[in-house]
Amino acid sequence: MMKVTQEVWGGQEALSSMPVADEAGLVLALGAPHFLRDPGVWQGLRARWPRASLVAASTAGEICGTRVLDESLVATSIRFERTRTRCERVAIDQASSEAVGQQLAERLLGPELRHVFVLSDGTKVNGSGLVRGLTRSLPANVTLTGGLAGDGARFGRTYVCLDEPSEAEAVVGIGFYGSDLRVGMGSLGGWDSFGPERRITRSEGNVLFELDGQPALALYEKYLGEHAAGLPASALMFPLTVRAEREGVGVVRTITAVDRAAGSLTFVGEVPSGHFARLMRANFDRLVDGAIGAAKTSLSALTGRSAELAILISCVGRKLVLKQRIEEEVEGVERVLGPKPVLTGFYSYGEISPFTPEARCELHNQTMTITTLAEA
Amino acid sequence: VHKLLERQLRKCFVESWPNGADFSRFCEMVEAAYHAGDEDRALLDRAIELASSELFERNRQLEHELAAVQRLELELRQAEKLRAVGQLAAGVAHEINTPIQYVGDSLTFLLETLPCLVGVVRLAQTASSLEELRAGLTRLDEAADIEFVLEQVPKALELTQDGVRRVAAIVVAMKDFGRPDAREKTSTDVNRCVEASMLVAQNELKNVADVQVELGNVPEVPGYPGELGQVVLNLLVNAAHAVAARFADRGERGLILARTSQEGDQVVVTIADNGAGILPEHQLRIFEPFFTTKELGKGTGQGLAIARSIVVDKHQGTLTFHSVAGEGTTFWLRLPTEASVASQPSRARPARST
Repeated sequence: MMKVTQEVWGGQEALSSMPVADEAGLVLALGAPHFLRDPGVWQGLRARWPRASLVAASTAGEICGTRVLDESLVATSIRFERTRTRCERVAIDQASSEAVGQQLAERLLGPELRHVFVLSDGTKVNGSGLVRGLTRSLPANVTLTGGLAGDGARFGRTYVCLDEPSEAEAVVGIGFYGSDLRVGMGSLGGWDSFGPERRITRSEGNVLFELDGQPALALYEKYLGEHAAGLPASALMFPLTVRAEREGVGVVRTITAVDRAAGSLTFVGEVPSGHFARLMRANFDRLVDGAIGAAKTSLSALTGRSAELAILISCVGRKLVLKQRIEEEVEGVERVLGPKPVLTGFYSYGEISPFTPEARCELHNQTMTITTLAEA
Repeated sequence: VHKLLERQLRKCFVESWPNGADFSRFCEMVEAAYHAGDEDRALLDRAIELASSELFERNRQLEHELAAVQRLELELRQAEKLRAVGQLAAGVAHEINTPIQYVGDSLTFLLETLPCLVGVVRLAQTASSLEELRAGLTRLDEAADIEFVLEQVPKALELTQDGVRRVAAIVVAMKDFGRPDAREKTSTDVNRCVEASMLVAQNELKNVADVQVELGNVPEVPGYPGELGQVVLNLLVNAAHAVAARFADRGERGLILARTSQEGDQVVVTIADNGAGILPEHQLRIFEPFFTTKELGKGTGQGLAIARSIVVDKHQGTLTFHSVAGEGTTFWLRLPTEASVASQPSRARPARST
């Protein structure tokens, strides 16, 4: 059995005034970027959990139970009965995202490694490369989930820290070790494709220059109209589904930056030349259904056991679209998982998970991605 | 109550307890929701409109491209037809040359015998007595065998007429092949297509095989005569090549059968040979474009692909075959008759529900 507690802070004073809590091995602190820049917040966290690994990420909104919050810090402390955890941090620096992923995986390798949960910087990383590096170096029986940190809808500076505040862009991985841990996962979007299929005619990694020989930025500006001034955030209204073949399953990609001079768009994941792309649009009910579908998938992998902790990583694009209705998707998840598990999580710039536990782990955008944990 | 309104009411009037109802916040939330709803709808309407116009434009572009492809396909078929006829040109020239030669020989004979015949006529006009006429005829008979001339002249004229007919038939067959078909299908005499193809391929066939032709009493089919002739010609030339591949080295001749018949509401053209046959591993591929087992320069691999397209796509017929390697091949070209086409519902017309 795991022991999970959850606390929410809206300001430093409240945090620093908290007494020492029960011994927890791991604390997940998810909050607005200004919390993670603040040394006082870190002192407060350390004072409350003196011996825990403090893993923190900035967000575009926090999930606490069925509530979706802004400008708060949600700390979830986890104490496992038999499962061991180890956390590692790798700075992004000059290394390729793939190399960073590989390095992180190698550091986490160890006997009985069961699952890796990864939190990454949200704007400087090539998420596809990171996932490729991680999956290449992890044994096939080790599952992988996680997400990319956020910075509201600003797409400015994101933070991922381990035990102390840090300005450097980094990736933090949590390794879960032991045979008593059950991990479930599921990821689903719920967006609808529309309009013509376009071929990616010029791109470099995660930077897209041209679709069908035309500047990609111009296409977004045309579709967004006056909302083009709000790029890159407003592009979340029209994510792109990218697939290698005209027919087949694709991945959803959203924009994190625009370069108006170059006419280019930067995505969280790769947008390879020669692949096919199609704009997508939101359908409120289908987004909520997507979250429910992800919850069902994540639960099925626990083979009848109830989840004790569910980490929900949902895309910032869903929050911008669903607006006041955003909590509907979290409530939908709770209806599936039941009242037992503590729900925590955040709105992200990218989600890392296989669609189903048997599938290949990929970077996603615009999905609700759920990791469920239970200890036998 | 709408899910969103319920949420707003709960947040502002239930969860706000014990601080009391927050009516101003409720108003703000409702206004924000209306405003966001309007904005979202406008953005999506605009996106759908843009996507529709993009799709419309692409559709138009595709129509242009399709028309261009169809034009190219037509040109390719015409070129392939002319290429096929061109490849047979030497044989066709030979087929024309043979009658031309005996027409020439007959005319030479007629010219040589003309003085004798003219002499007889002049003698008949000028002789004053029967004795003079007999003496004159004896002189003429000594110079040229009058009985022989009388016997041979009609034969020479018949030969000349036959030769001219044969040349004319070949020229008509060549014209049938060379002329592009009309845009619309016309009533097509399949037997005439087979005969024209036989004539054009005659030289190719007669050197390697004995050809048996059995033309049945078949109705006309709606079709493109030039293109159907091209299909039959292609099958005949392939049969000639297959027969040559099996027998030529042994100095033997093969058999080729060309038959037309009616089966129900279809006209069937059967082209069979006892040539080399098609290897099992090639049988699935023979209708693929550019697939050929013939040596370089002898086949482009387009013949059967185009033949199938002509039969299936343009005539709604079938082109099937049975082949045993080393024993021979039979092709069946089945074409719907006018009656069967008339009884089929039009493909272009959508089915109407009642």
